[in-house]
Amino acid sequence: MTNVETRWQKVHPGVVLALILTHVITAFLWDSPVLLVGQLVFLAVWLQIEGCLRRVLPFLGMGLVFMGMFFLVGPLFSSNGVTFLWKGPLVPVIGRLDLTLEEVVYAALSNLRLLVMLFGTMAYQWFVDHDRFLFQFARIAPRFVITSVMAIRLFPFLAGELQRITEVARTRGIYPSANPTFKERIAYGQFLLKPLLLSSLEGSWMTAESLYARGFGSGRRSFYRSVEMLDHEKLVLFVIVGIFGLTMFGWGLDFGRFATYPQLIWYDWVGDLMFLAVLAAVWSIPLMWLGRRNTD
Amino acid sequence: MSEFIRIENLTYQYPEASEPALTDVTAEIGRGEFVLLLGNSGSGKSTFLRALNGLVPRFYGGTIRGEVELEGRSLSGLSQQEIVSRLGFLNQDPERQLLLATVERELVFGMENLGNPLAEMKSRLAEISQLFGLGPILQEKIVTLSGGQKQRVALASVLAPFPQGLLLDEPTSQLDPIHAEEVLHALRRLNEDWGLTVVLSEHRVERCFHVADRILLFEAGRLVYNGSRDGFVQRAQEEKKEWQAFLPPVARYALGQGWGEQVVEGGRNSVVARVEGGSVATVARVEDGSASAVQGTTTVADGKSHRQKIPLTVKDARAILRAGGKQWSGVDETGKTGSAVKKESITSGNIVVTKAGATGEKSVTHRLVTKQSGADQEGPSEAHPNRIQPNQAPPNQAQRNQTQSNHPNHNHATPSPTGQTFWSKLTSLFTKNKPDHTSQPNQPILTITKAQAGYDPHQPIIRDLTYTLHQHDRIALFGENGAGKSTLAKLLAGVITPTTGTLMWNNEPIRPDFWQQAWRRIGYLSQNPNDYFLHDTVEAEILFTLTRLDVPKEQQEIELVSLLDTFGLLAYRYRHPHDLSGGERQRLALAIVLAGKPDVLLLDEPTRGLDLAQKENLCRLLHTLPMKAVLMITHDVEFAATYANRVTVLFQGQVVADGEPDEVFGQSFAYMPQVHKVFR
Repeated sequence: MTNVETRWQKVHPGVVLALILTHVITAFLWDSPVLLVGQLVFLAVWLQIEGCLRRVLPFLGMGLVFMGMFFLVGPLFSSNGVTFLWKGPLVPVIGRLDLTLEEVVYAALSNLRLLVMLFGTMAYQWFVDHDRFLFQFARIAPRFVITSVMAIRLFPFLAGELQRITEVARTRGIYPSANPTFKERIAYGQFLLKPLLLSSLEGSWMTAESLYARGFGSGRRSFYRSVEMLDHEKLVLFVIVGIFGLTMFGWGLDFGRFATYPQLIWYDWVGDLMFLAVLAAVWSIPLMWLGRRNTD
Repeated sequence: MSEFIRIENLTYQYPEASEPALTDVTAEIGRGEFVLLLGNSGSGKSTFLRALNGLVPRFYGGTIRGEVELEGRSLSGLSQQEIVSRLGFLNQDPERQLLLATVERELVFGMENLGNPLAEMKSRLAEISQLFGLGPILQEKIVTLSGGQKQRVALASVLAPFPQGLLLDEPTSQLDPIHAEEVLHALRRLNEDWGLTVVLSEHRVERCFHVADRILLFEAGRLVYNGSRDGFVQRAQEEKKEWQAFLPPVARYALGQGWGEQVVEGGRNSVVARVEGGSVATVARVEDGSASAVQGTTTVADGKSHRQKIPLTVKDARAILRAGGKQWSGVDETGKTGSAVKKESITSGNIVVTKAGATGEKSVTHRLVTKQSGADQEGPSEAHPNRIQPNQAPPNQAQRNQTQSNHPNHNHATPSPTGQTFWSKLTSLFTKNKPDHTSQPNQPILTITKAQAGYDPHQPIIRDLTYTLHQHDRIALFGENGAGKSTLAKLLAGVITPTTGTLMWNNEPIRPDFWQQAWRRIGYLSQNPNDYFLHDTVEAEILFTLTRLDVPKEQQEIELVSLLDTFGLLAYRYRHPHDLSGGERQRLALAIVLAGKPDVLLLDEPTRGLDLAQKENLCRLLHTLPMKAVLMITHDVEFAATYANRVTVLFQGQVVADGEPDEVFGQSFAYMPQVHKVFR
């Protein structure tokens, strides 16, 4: 994954990170399905324009497994909502097993947020120059940067490890059938998860050891190349702060308001649609600005 | 030589470990010394290296006792930056220690961490990139580099801050012979020209033993030898025979063959004795005195002290052979002058020494053919004809042909602790319900024809390759990093599909449904045994495969015990696989693969990280397995020489050499075992 080269890696990492963070944070501000779906579509389009969307698909598969589990476990074991879809037996400790429309919608919204986070993480992987990011913060928060570097490296490392483990499993005749059921998918994923987890922990440990042995975080650093923010990048950063402010303003005006419990209430879906149109327009400004300048 | 590092009574125990990894270690390392750490896996070498730069206990935790001093100052009193600026550290896995995106960033990273000024960084970057020839790839992405390039960049980046010492933990274990040579050559230069102190832990000692100034030998966390290289050889020769396992192959071979030179002390001219069969045959004067490595002391009939020279390099060994072939004025066994060694010729693996003496000319043929001794008859595990024992020479063609009839499918059995023979147990497991369709030797089992394969259809790694695995093949597959060896193995195992070309099994084209049950026919062991561990106990791992084979419950227990016993894992039956040692994990992974009773076994670098004893065990095991064919990817030419009866070299996805080991080794500069080089 690290060998993906995009034009966004040439932009100051602080600016790109601010852009991505704006999306991830605001996804937790509102509950409206319209805004969440719109945000997801926007990120997907951005990834698609940069030719990275197809690379998300393998991770999307893994994400779907977790989402499916959440979808199953959450509504079944919680007892909220009033619109019953199914009433099950009383189970000691847990209580009644039931399924309400509100619980299902709540799980769906949570999964939408999970997808926004997944897309945001992918954008961070491919659009941020991690080295520059590292240099930027090493001076003020070396421990944080060590953790970040390990996390960053863990992701592509996991992808490579997963491929190898999947191949090995295949040589042992362990692979999903042509049309696997959900249960089969889970069982197959479990097979891969254990060796994946152990090898990734081992890999991260070695990386951390290497960082330590090379004196990272041992004291004041010097810099071989300047990582100063350019003027137009500063301007875009200002715009991003403005976008965040606008979002908060809209949120204060109850745009994106949606109640799941105790009963579903969508206060103003037309208003949400209009707000989404405005947001989509302002979200595009930094992308077009930075994208065009770097293309030039 | 001034003192650089001093270690006094060092004892260290990892957190939650039951025993110390290092016990009461005392040593000193001089400035500019080249120190070689020897010892079996788990003996404490890696921990010792990490104790020198404070990684233990600072990074790992645990309890430490004793003192480590760097340039006269206690390590505990030095800051991380002070230690790092003096000591560089390189481990065996370049993938895990290269942290940044481009070569240039990687090279300056260490200097930035130490806060070096920009002008200094620029000048050192220029120096180091010139020294390692990295100029043209400074802006390259790390991920695009080959394994050898990555390790070179890793070494260069550790050296860029100009440390005074370098600690290396098996830096060549993942490299092919050429790239390993490059790295070790660079180390040697840095040690000799820069005066860099080098502390190196290495299993493949053939390229570095002779340059070591000091040897530190570890056994179970204790330092059992700390002294000169020559002293080590002498003790290995005279009293600690088990230490011979740590000598370079050519030295072990020479010791085993009992040939070497005896140099008489006390005379102006060196006097050389050829030693044959452990006794002095001829003592002669060397006229040019070109030999360099001289060890051992013995006394012959003239009462003078003699040092027996054991070659440590191919050049040394050749010098001894050449010395034997000179016209030299010499002395005989009794020390009297007069005898002369006339001639020594080397023809197709045989050395013929013709000695002219008072009793007339007599020829002694020093055969480079393994004799089938009584020990050999005990079973292939002890002394396979293809295997170069310390007292054996490289086998010749006639002998290799003999291996066909000696194949485990034909004979031999090693007694097992349970009374049943090793071979009969395994054979019984494999032959049940499985008729042998390929009983004739040399019959093709698995063939690929004009295959093209890889992960990117536009950039195939395997290109137009035709290759066949035959009955009884024990193939060593060589090739530089990135040549396509693992891809070929995966292609043969059905993990990846060829974009063009065909695959045949027993001369019949493979259909897609073949691969669904291919794991019963083709066993594949990857580089990382951890990939095979899906359960919480050793037992469960094996039972998982047996259950999938539909083996009846009562039979499962029999097969389980038999397999675990065969692989020496019965005592660990209820242990977690990750609680096993490296060698045990690998045996378990192999047992898991073999539980599927495959006909063909594909092994991807099975000797990586194994010490000599573990390699010998693996070799013994592989010789005993009843596979129809085995293909082993390796960088370890010495191991291949002991095991393979066919050698293939892959280059850029194509086979460039394939044949009998003698034939391929004889034509190859990169892939030739050390002992073969002597007789080249």
